[in-house]
Amino acid sequence: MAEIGNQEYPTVLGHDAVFKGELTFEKGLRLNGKFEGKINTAGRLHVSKEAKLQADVEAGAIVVEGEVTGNLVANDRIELKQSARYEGDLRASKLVVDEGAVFSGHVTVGPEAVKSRPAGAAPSAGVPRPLGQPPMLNKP
Amino acid sequence: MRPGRTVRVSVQVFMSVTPSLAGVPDDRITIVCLYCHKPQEVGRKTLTLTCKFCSKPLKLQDVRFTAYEARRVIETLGVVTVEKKGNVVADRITTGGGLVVRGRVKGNILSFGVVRVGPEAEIKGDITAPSIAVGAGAILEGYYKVGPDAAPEPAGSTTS
Repeated sequence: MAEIGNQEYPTVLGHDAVFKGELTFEKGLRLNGKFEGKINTAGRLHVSKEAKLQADVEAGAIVVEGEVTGNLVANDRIELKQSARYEGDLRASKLVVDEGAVFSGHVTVGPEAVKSRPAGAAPSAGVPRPLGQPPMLNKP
Repeated sequence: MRPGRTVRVSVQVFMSVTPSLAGVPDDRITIVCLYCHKPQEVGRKTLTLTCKFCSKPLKLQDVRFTAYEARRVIETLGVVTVEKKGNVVADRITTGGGLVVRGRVKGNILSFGVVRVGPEAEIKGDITAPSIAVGAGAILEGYYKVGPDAAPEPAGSTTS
């Protein structure tokens, strides 16, 4: 089972690791520690239960089990598991949310959601929201 | 002599049922007002009532949409279901029992129960709910506030 995990996620950021900056990788990253900054990949990102991610992410697929703040863009799908705590704007072709996940922010999901985004644009269409600030509300 | 037996049987049945009725009677349910959020007991078969605290009219029945329907407001303490061929356009959908969407919905949703979104559903509008489940393939657009603390505070002086 551990071998399968390693094949899918060759890069692992451990429980006691704290990373600040920009990260790119090819296949997959399993985040168990803390990450702050920016992630850009065509591969998969898995944010495990105990992990904390504060970043703008552009990836092929994103699975969230832990705590995430920032804007997420996935060309394929975003999965918010039962234990997920997410705040930010998300854009993906497909979204899967398990009952119990807590999140707030703008959601744009559908086959056209990612296609319509101009190439090389910031993760959130329009003005990117600075990290650590709550998303703008439509209504009071 | 003959009625003696009958009486004995009916007494036994009554005694076995009584303990389970000690708490909330079977024919009563507790509902929470959509506006003032105060609980009150009503008959199980009640379809509509007026909140005894804020005097707002409340509907209890489940609502099911199987075709196109445009309404200003949809409000019920029951479950709102939009079936595959359902297409609902509303300014506001407020539900106490939850929402199940398999078709299309355009409008802002406030649910006090779980929102279940099928893989072929399409929702355009903001959603506020304590919990949501989304199947892969659904088309969504709007501002989402999901979590146990997502429900708004009771608006005592609000008029609709």
